[in-house]
Amino acid sequence: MKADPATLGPLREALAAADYSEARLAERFGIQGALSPDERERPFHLRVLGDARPLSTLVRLFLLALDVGRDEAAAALAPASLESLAAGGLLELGDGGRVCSTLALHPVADLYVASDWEREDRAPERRDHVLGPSAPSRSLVALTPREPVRSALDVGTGCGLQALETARHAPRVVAADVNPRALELTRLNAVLNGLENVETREGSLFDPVEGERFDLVVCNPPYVVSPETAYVFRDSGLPGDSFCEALVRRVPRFLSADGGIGLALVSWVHCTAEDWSAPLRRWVDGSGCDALLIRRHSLDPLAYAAAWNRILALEPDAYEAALARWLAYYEELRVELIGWGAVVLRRGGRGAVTAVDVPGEPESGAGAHVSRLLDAHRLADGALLDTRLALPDDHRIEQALALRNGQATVEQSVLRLVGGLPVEARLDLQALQLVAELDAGRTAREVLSDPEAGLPALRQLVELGLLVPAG
Amino acid sequence: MTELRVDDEAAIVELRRGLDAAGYTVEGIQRALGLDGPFARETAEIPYYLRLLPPGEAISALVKLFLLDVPVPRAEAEEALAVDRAERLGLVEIEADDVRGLVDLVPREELLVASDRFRDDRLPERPDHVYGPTPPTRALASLTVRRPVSRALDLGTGSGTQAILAAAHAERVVGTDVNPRALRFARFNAVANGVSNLDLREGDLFEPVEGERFDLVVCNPPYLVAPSEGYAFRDSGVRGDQFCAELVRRVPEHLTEGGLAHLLVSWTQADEPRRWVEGGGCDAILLRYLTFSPLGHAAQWNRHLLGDPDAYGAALDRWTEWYREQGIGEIVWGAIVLRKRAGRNWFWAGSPPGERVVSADRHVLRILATQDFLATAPELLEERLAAAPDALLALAFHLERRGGAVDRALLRLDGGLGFEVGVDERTIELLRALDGTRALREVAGDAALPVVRRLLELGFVVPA
Repeated sequence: MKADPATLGPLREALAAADYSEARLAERFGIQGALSPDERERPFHLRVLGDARPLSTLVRLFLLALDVGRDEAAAALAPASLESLAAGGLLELGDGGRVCSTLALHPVADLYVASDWEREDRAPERRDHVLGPSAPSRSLVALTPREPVRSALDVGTGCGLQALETARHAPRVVAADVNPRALELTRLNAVLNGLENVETREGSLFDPVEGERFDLVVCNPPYVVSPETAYVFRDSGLPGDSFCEALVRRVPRFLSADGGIGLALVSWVHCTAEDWSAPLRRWVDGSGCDALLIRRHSLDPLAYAAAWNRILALEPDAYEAALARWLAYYEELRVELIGWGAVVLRRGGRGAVTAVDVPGEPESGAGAHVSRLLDAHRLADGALLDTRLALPDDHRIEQALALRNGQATVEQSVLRLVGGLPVEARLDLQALQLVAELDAGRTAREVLSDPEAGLPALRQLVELGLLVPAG
Repeated sequence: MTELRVDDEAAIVELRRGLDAAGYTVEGIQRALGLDGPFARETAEIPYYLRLLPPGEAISALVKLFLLDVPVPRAEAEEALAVDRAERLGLVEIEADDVRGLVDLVPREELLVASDRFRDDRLPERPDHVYGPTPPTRALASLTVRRPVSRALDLGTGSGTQAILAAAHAERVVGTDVNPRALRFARFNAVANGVSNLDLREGDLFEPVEGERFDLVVCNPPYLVAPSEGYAFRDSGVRGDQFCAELVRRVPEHLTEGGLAHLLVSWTQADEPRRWVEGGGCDAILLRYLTFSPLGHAAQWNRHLLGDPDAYGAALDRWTEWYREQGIGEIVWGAIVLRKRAGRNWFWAGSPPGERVVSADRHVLRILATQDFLATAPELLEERLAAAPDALLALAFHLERRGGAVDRALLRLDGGLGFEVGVDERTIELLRALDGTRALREVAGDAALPVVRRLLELGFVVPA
């Protein structure tokens, strides 16, 4: 594959002209997300696509892995030429005038991201397979604060999605991966999207950037806790969660001393007897960073093994064998629960740690919420009572009211953030009254009859970003 | 293939008792598998389910035999049920040292329903296949008004779920089916569920009940609008919508005055069922649950072919071509409620957001009462009206420097058909003012009439 601007620039033009975007595909064809749709639904999708050129041609070529006629391809890809795309390794021009793509090409927000082909019912063939923009990597994109930074590092860049997103608010981005094929794709994707500030470096994890520091470090590592070593993108080959632990412990050394932020998706093992955050708290203890620990969910070993091997469900024997192998492994390690989520570190704090349960998918505003939750650490406990606090602009209060006998009775009130981290807190009438009074400019000490007793609930709202310093 | 035996009722009763004792119920199975919700089987996930089941427990053997279609060693099966008796009843077969289940035994709420084996990845092999409870079964059951009646009819009873449910509030229930195997399953299920007031009759449509009238008729007919592929449970031999039309036209002559009929139906032209009920002497509520394009409908009904792309593609083409020939542009699926009533009849259509499994019979009764009320053409402004006691307002708002702003306000009912309407602040004020003590005129003017009428129709406001 060649990352040649003279070839990929015109391709970008063609994709943009056809409005090859997530929104357009969802609207026109009901195709959700940019990942390849269920392969088995192909006969249905083909009939839905019909003959709506050039969009249907692009979907066939780049999402469904189908070949199309040479003339049809040429028309859809102009001004890019088939010959130059073939010379660059993206297209194969077959006998009989058919054209197919060697890579999948996913529209993601306003980016185009090439990756290896994958099917939801079949495990990838090559060990150095480069995964496309997966749901976890999209949630890492959403979680990352997008304030301008001087430099950024994407560790284990894969198809380069994090690096591309970061390149829009950092003048210099280093994308590192142990898999040279991943770096090839990252370079191709950078050029395809007209981004010139992404530098690729080959090596394991942080090895290629030893001694350097960055304002922002993002990492979607092979965090899966499993006995497997089949794929670079999934399997670290290290026992239990020791890979994630070592990774998290290593991040601070690469963060700028003046507030550098690091985010890593992680899986960790925890027991039913302790809080889910206990192991993560040990990992970040003494890091010299403030930490935000985000949990999406915890699964028991069987549910976790089933979730990661569902791709095999159409081959009962292989599925059966994988479940047996994974469960034996967990048994040996005495694993009770496996958590999944993210660790966010910010250097230069006083070692404050917040743990938040976030069961839903983060939306695009989550990065700003992550910053806000880190900032909340700066509000010392005692000062909270005298600090002017307000509801953030992106709050919503949702109430269920029963209408009886001319009365509207509030049955439940929930305060939540919208458009980012899906965090929420139930409010009783007293708490609702309190936030309204705070929002109107009074302090908690002025409003609460017993301020000290009200402090824990108040602190929780601040830690969740549901109350912010006024101003 | 062994057939179900239904002559030894004592054996069926004993079997049910044993299954209950082993915890073979909706909750028991859910607990054994450690699930958050009711168990819904996917064939491809069987290796996963097998590991969820607690080893050595009776319930695990029963789930394997009657839900997963996985053979169980004889010794293990004996721990869970009397194998010889189950074999005599035609529920299992014994092969060497293994016992294999021959039917699905599916707990549904309080019921236990036996039916032919179902797989999500292939169509049944025999044309007289008998289905167990499906999502439409539950949609119909949730819609059915559960008031005490003298005589009820379940037309095309299949494995008998609707008839058994009706037996709890009808003195006498007649269940009919053209498929004798279905009647055998229905008989088995009646006994297994302690129902003794069910009269099962073989025959086509109304044939077995010629000249008889009922206070309640329920029917989950072969409503599928598709090229015929020869299954008794699905294809009637005529187009599903035409079959429904015929059915709806003929139901009234079997209803007593005030009697109710609940039928699942399909149709292909906007509110076409309005014509089906004309002249039948019935009031009618038409519920539109789902609307499909021809291609979407073909895909929905051929999902069992997903593993075979060529067959799937060919089926999509065959079906869409047939829709084109028939001039069908869309297929609507829903339900119709009829009530026999002398006098000038009304017709009302609504579009609930998909079929629901929560009980909606109170809501159906409310719509009947409200339409009766509106049909008397009252001066609404002079009437005393009230917000329904089960109306809920879901409000989302945010606070701003000066006051707050409402982002979304939705009215819902606690339970029922699931209608939702967005309301503005004036309507919210009006709803609070409607406390049933004053005439509408005292709290609103002419301008509010369309909104009030709509809220009445959907059941959010009721005559006081």
